[in-house]
Amino acid sequence: MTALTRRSFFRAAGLAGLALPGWFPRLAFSATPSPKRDVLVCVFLRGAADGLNIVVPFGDRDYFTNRPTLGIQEPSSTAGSGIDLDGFFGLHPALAPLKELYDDKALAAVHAAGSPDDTHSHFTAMDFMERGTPGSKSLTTGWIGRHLSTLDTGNDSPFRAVGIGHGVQASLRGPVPATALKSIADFHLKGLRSEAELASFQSSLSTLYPGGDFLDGQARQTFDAVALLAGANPGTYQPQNGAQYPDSDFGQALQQVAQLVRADLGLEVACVDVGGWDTHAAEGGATGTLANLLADLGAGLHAFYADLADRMAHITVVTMSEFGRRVKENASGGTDHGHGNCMFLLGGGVAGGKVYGTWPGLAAGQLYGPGDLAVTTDFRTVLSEIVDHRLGNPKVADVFPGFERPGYLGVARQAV
Amino acid sequence: MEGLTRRTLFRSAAAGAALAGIPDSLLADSRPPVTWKAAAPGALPPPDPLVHLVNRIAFGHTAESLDHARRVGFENFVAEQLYPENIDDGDLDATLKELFPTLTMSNARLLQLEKSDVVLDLKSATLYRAIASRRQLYEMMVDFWSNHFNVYHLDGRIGYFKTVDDREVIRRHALGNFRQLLGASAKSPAMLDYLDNATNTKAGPNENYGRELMELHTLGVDAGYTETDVQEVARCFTGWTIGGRKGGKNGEFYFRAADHDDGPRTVLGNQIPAGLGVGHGEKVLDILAGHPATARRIAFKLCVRFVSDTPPDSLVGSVAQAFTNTGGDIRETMRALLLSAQFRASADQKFKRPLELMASAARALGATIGPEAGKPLLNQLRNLGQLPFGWHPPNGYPDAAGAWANTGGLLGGWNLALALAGNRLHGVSTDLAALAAGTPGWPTPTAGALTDRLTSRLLSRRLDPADRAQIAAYASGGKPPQTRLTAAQAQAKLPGLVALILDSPYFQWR
Repeated sequence: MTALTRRSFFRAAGLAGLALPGWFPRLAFSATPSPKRDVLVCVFLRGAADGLNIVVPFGDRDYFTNRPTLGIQEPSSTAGSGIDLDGFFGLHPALAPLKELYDDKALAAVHAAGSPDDTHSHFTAMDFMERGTPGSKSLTTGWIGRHLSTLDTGNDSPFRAVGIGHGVQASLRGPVPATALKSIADFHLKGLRSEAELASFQSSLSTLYPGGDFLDGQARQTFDAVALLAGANPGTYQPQNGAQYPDSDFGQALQQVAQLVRADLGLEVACVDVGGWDTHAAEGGATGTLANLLADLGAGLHAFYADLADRMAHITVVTMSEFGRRVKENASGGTDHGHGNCMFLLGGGVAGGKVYGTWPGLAAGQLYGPGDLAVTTDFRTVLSEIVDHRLGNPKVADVFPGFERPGYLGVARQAV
Repeated sequence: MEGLTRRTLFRSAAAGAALAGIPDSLLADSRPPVTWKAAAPGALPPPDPLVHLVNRIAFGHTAESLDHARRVGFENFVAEQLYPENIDDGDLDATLKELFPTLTMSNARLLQLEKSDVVLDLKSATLYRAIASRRQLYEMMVDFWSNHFNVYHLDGRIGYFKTVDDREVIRRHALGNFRQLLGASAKSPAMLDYLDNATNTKAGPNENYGRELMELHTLGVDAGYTETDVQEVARCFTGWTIGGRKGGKNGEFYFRAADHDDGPRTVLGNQIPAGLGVGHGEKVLDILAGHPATARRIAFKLCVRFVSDTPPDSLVGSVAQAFTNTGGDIRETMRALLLSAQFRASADQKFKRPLELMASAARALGATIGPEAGKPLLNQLRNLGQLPFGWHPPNGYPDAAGAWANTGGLLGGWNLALALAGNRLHGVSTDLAALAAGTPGWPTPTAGALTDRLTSRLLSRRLDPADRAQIAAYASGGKPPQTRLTAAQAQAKLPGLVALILDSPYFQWR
């Protein structure tokens, strides 16, 4: 069947259906998520976040040798020093809000995590990580996209998978369509004099996208999402429990996710990006560029956790970044591209209050490549544990093809 | 039942697209394409070749540009556009000079001003030029190189420096020689600041510029260079900085010999002797600009910009050959591309990005852009995710439909057209009645005649009869197309009708 006939066919179908509204939302999604499956929130720190200054290995003396000006001081009563987690690792002081979550056993870190591929290219590394197939570009789908397509939850909602921002993240690529959304409040047509005129306009517009090709499909996804949101009447969102989201892109993005969770629109996965982590120069230590980024990250996650306290038993947040940064600081007061990094997991199903992983050490002979933290935990080990233990998808081999899991870290508890 | 069938078929179509595969090269954005298959050829009745040409190498057509192209023909129009210096743009230049005095200033002068003013001037001017310049291919090339040599307006002092970078690097060389463009970029304070070469010293080299120079500006990530090459290139550029307290002219390129590692280097197997000083970096630029991988990569990116998200290998090869044969002459490279059969056959293969959507809508509408239109239009672009110089990572805004053709992007674009057609953007005005006035029977035309007139003006292409019927049905309120509208009905329907046409699939492609 050629494209032309396909389009004509859809048109014919559209015209035959004139008695029906020109478009209608799919409503066959499960309004209440299965209690055995978490909502996954995937936070990507784009630009290679400096994991060594996020979860600080103050117990490794080589850290201070390599970071004479950027190093975060060993935990003490001095302002700007690290926040002790386990006597070896400490949080950057700007992440102070996360300590409470760690103490609640809802937050865990995995250190020296990352990709087995040694690329130092942001774009290649992000690509590999989002595909979930480091070193291989033969699959065009993303790891979350494969998770969604291999797990039939009976959920047909356009909000099953959501990318917050101007685009859909590469990890969501796959046959299950994802909705890109920047702002719930703005997610509707506007600009004519009355609601009736807008409805008539929208009805006509939908007939121009009858459903025969990719763009038509995106358009229908849009109409469905708009209709569903309008029906849910999201209105003004009031965060609960005194949660205060930062007035930043990240804070607002998490608030949109929380709003979608509360509206019970069938959300299963949401991807959120945070940029600006490529700190080659003027990175700063306890204060400065990185500290500002972390303050936003910490405040945002804290607000999300507080806001959705009653739902957190079935939410898992995971953070990742394409690689870490060079152990030794450069003369620009920054750090160049590195390798191993840290990841955070947050949620009711996370076995938190612990830093996971095997520390490879920062002495000269222990470093990887041009002077980087080695990777001792494959990022897929972490993600696959979330996929089967928290998302209820046993098909880990389809989500991460070719990956031989060395075992469970135990960071994500089996959902019950 | 129809709905279910349609939906089911759509789903399998989407799955098929995922399996059909996307070239790896297109996936290397930090916001890569989602499951994507380019517009199925034949999905929409194709535009005629001149309309395709004018829409593809410009920020959309105006009535004037289309008339002109039809008068001179395809090849002459290409030839004219390749020599922007011969196209009179005096009225626009005079307007810009008056509205945006910072455009012609030096960095030293700009540094004395309020940064937000400098930034707003350049962003606004970029938009005004896209909409109003007659040198449309040139403005498209400026946009292309602005993304290729991306810098981010909010980093460091780039808000100041980008104005000179735009003028002396990008605009000066946009259709010139690639090696000169590359060299100008390497010494541009905006780039030196953005990729941190300004602080790259022998005391602890900063690899940022060296790496992106090879990965993004020239060779491409798979060209086979090593981490050692990255470190060697970084050392070649030690001491390339911006004048200021430590010497040199404030805000100008400055080679600080004391910070330069003057030892011998090896880059991509080439021995570079010690003692060359600033010549180390120049030598690296020579090696990179002349490398076959660079020709291939620039050709590929130009083909993606002007032909298709998945350009045919044969075309990339011949465009790369033109680049190599002419020593990196961008004008001749573009000539080879635009006169190729593959270019002619590529209608409806490129999805408009927000800037292209906005400019093309304003151009098709014949909108009047007043002096105060900058801020409202830029706000729209911010909401749509393509503020000029607003892309933070060094790879520039993505240039593939998958990055833009999504729910939020479509909805935002639809609302933009509604705002323009409704005259709801301060400083931008469109005379919809004038647009419709040529309709037979105006001011009381039939719904069909009004539809034909407006689609002809705004789209300049034949519609699928079913689409024409749907648009006419909107105009008539669901009655047959031969229904005659009263003057009041026609006036009242105009904003929605114009927006509907601009929001149709026909206007989403360039």
